[in-house]
Amino acid sequence: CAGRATRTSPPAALPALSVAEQAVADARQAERELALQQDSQWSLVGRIAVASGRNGGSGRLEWAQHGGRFEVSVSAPVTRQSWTLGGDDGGARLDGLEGGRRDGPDAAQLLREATGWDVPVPALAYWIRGARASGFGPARLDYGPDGRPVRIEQAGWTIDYRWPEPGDGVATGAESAVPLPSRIDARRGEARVKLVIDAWGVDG
Amino acid sequence: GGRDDLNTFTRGLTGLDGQFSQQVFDASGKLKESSSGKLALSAPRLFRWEYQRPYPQLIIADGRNVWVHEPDLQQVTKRPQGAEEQNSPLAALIDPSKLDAQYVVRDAGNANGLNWLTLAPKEGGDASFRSARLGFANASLVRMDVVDALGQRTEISFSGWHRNPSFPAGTFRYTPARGVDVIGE
Repeated sequence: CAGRATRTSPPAALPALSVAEQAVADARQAERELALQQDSQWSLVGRIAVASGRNGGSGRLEWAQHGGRFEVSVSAPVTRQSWTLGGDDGGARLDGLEGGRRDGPDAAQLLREATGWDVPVPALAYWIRGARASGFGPARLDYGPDGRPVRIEQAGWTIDYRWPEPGDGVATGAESAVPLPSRIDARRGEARVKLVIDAWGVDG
Repeated sequence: GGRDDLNTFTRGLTGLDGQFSQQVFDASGKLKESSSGKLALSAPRLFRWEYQRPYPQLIIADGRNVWVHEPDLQQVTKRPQGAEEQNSPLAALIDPSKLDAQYVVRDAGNANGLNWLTLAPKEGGDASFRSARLGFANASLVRMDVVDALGQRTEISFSGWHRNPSFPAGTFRYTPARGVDVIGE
């Protein structure tokens, strides 16, 4: 169940859940995460804005995940000049930037060195679907009234969620059983990653 | 052919405004994205791309910096205006001599009713794309296609050009609203 990392204030508007409600929500979250694990091939299109101190940028985002393997592409406005970060737990490669292809053991480090962007790629693959990242240490969760997480704190990051309201335009591809977020806002120190998800696709 | 159309279109041209619609295809030709909006260009290096659909986004080059405002993400990115803008084929339109300086420009004849010019970056140039082409209909630029280093193709169609319009003050200026984080140098 959720570890007790240092507690930062939950989003202000939230009534604290009672112990019983928290336990129920934790159980439902564990169930949700199990279902997400089975659904290990997914993709999304959306937009990303990254700020790491003075560095940063924004662009159109495409993310395709096949189990542990990810393919993340960001295209710049107008010219749509794009880079693609691909990899798995064996290593990562970054294509499309000046100077040609780069390879390295750690995707987040490769991206940071090439662009100055601080994006926690492997863990984000879990957080982006509203799940705790397995293998990244204890996590603390706050839930909304509907039992869906509104905040996850893990590995030094604080991730706030917005979920589609009924009637929102967020296409969820084939009816995926598990509800998926429409917006996430992740922060760690000066680093900030904001994602708006325009459409989830279930097949990669 | 394309070259004559380019010369006609750019003669005496110091500014343009009009509409655009943009489609982006991945390296295998699958349509990834469609967007549209308004754009304005003013010699020598000012431009304004105002995406309206599917979501708002504003890109302004004010001669010193390029501002990208993403309202949905409440972020403005500012970076010095540099080579990237100058080597975009569209920027060169306002200064055609730059087209020949930066690209190998070839007349590519007529196809689906348009006269085409192809642009290939010169060796050693720092163009950020693999190839580009400009399409003209009765001496007016109506299409710009750009293929980037990863093979992704962007097709932009232009319409409703006004030549040398008088731009309202502030067209090429951006002042971030309070409360919006401005990222960048």
